[in-house]
Amino acid sequence: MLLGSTKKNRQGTKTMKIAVISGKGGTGKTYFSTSLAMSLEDVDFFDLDVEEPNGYIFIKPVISDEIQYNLLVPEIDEDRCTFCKKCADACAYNALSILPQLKKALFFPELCHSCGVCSFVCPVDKALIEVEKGIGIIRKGKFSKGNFIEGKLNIGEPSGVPLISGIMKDHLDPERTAIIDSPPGTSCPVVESIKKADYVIIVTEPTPFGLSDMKLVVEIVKDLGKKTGVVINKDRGDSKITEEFLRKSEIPIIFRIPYSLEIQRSYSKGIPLISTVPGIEQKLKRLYEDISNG
Amino acid sequence: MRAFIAISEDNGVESKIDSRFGRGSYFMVYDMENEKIINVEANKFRDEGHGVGIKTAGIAVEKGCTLVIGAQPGPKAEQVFNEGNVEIFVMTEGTVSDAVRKYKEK
Ligand code: SF4
Ligand code: SF4
Repeated sequence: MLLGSTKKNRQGTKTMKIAVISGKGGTGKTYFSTSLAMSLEDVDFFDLDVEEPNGYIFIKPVISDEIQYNLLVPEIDEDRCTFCKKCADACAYNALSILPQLKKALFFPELCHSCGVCSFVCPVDKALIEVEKGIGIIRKGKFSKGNFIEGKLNIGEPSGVPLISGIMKDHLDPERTAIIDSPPGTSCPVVESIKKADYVIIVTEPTPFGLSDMKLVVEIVKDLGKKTGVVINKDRGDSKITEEFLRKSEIPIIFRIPYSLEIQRSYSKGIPLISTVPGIEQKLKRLYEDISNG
Repeated sequence: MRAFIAISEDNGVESKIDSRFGRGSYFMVYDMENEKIINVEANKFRDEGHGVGIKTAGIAVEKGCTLVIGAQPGPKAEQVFNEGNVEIFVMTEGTVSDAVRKYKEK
């Protein structure tokens, strides 16, 4: 049985963690995930597209907290350090380079995983201390249906993984339904953002390019053994090649967003899908029910 | 001057230079003035993940090399070399003797 799938919320429906992903940016992933969240009751929306979080445009939350997210990284005092290299030898990620002849200690933050081993093995008092380094900001607030949580990575930070895993660890409530807007693409941050999901929704556009990007994310989702379904955005009724691929892969098409000028226009103005297409809110609610009933 | 050369086989001066810095099978330390091999040792880090270049560069500096011949090191390894005032001579193919000749001709 899936994690969390037996829990019920106030309305008596099951609570689930649903991640929304896409093979690349600009497929309508956030447009869909925000409206899905807004159509439900008692739901937390997580914007984990940490390089460019823009769910707030549609969700329009009231932000109450901004928390800096820190990691512990080593700092070496070259006056105290004896250049014994114990720290560098112990670091599994090669993030430290000690050059005894030159009496230099080099640190490569991009490689550091904040594991703390270096400070543990250093035999010299205060030669290597752990310092906090801010890597991003977590913004918390409320929207009409529940909590809004967003991560934004500082510019120049090499990886969104630590911020995403930190948010999931500290803010994901096992008792509540969560809609998670994942980063686009197929990299490690995407994997991190869907680890705790009960279900993964892939948003795609029915073009040859969209298909090849989608194939990559399908692989990831399958590797992680997650249940999944596809949302076709800008559907003009000619999505044959995409449908063909999905049929062969035994992945259901769970929703279609039609192609219409009106939708494009309201999208560009930051108006959510549920406020644009009449009746779509009910359809999204039903989609959630179907997913949670397996 | 001592040169540090990453090679893909241990075959004296006829050893082939490895096309990837930090992932060569062996490291050779070579005396450029006397044209002599000082030592060759197996690269025990080659199968590690990220950051092998940093380790390799650290070894080169530790062995007192002021020249490294081989494939372009990554930016982080390059930083280590810069700290150690090690000159980088990029060469991705050929043998150690070719490299020494090319370096001297430059
Ligand atoms: S904290 Fe861990 S990963 Fe970072 S430098 Fe120290 S040992 Fe390496
Ligand atoms: S373990 Fe401590 S003393 Fe040794 S090189 Fe690292 S920081 Fe310096």
